[in-house]
Amino acid sequence: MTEPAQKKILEVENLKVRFSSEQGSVFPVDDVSFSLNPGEVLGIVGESGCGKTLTALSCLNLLPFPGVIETGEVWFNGDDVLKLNEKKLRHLRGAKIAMVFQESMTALNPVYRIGSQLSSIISMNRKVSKKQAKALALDYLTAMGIPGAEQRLHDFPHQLSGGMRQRVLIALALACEPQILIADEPTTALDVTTQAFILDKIRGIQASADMATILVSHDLGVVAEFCHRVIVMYCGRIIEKASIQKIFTEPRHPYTVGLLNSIPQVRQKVLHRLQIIEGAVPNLHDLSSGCRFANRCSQAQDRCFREEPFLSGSGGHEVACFYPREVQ
Amino acid sequence: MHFLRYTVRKILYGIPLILGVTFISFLLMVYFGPEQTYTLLGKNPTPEDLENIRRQLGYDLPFITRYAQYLQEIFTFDFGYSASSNERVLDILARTVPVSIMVSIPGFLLGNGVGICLALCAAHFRGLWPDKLIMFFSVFGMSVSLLIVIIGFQMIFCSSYGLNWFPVQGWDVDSFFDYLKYVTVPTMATSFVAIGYNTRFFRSVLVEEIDSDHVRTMKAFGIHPLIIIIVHVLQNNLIPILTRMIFTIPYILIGGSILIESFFAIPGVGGVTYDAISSGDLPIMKAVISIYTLLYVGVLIATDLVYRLVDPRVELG
Repeated sequence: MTEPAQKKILEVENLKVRFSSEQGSVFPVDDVSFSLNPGEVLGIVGESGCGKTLTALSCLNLLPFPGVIETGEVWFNGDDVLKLNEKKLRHLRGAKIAMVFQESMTALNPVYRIGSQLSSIISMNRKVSKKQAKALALDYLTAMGIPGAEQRLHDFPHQLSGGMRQRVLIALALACEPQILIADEPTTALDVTTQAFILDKIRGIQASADMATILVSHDLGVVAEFCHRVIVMYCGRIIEKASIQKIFTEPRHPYTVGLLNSIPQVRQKVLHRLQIIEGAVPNLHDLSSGCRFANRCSQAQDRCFREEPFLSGSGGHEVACFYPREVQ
Repeated sequence: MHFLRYTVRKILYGIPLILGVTFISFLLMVYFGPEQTYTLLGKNPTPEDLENIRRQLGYDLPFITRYAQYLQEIFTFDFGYSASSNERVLDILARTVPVSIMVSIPGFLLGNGVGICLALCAAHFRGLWPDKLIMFFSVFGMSVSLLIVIIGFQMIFCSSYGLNWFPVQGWDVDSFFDYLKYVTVPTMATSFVAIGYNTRFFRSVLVEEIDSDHVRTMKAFGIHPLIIIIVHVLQNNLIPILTRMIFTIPYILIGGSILIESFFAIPGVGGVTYDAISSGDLPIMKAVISIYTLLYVGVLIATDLVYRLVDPRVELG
């Protein structure tokens, strides 16, 4: 993998997302900064509820009610996405930054035929006629390996299987030819062989169109296959940021180490018990002042419970830990 | 073809419902309802007089025979003559039902139309001031009794204490202008309350849809909010909205108009029903109940058919 050009296409700075409720405010995304190079595939990994989906949604300024962006900037093409007016935001969404949602079962409108939904979205974003859009939709559906794509266009979403719907969504996002594709767990609903096929397709299009991609996933296997760089999130914070080789060969944060150790390995000579990370993710309502991972960390010391570590490091490998694993 | 078979089956399913409702209501009318024997007789009736009048009224027949007669009346749509005015029931209905329809249609359209528009607006701006403003007025409209609204509006618009723009009551309609003159204040009163209820109901339905994943998808692909709200939010919720709208039709035609018709002295079917109940006019009651039942069953069938038309997921099972 070659290092892509250094002009950033997307820069997220100090993003903080607030959800207010009667129990008080929580910040499921807290002080998150990262950037995306053109043509690069960036992975965001972490367990459920760590804020990866909200981070992705923030890039489109599309937080679910009642989430608001407390602070932060998302720079794209010289504009702060979070300050764009409604009209400019509409032109950005889909056409420039397209998103594939995790919830493939419900992400399409159940009362319209797939063909009409796809062609109206594509024709709007690509500025082509409905007819051309339909042809485009058909092309991309076929490219996604959907059998009988022509027929599928006449179906309603509930007539398709989950995997099929997921592929329809991916085809839809790709057909808009965005500069950035944000894929939120795009292959979670698919079985392993289809998953490999789809990822291969996305990668083909991504590479040929030089489309930067953010892949949100909890599946480290997929991330290893697909990404150039990885961000590891825990409890709303980025705890480690590195190239894909570094993460897998020299993980430094104890959480990343734990994550990697908990991947099942199939072809081992001696079968070991799968390692687990003890404890559970802390409740966002009562975070202590220390490191958010401290209560589950085997390396934790006094300082970890008192102060919160910030990202630091050099050579593109940053880690938020006072006692990171030493690199050999 | 499939749809036609579905329709026919739905209509057939309606028949037991009609039989059930008419049977129970007839049972109530005969055994617990008004008894006119003594009202029609003078003082000190002889046993012969009693027997005579009971035969005239059909009271002497066994219940089943009387119910069979009732069914026949429904079938032929001929309910005989009013017990109090001796006018033909059909003539009374032909005179009053159109008036009731004329009075209630503008209120029905306004109440639902304005209700949907306000609800869309409130749902779109959920949590912001337009939402709060609209919900404040809608809860206000719900909370004030229709009676107060009627009297209040009469004071404001129809009396010399207020604006004195409209006649306070009556129904002397020869032209469209007359119609507007008499229908405006009743319409305002019914809409005032209906908009409150409808807006709140429609908003709660729409807000749920606005949070749904497919709406988020449309937003994420830059679809215009107006298209989203009308094509993707309203369209997907036509089932509960239409159900509510269609189900209010029988209610506003008969039940809801009683108050309006009595306060505005409008000679509609609501007033006739009220008089029939208080004076024990069995033929009119039978007629009104049958119409009401038929309307309701018709409405039930209509909603089932409409469901299929607006939502492809509904199976024609």
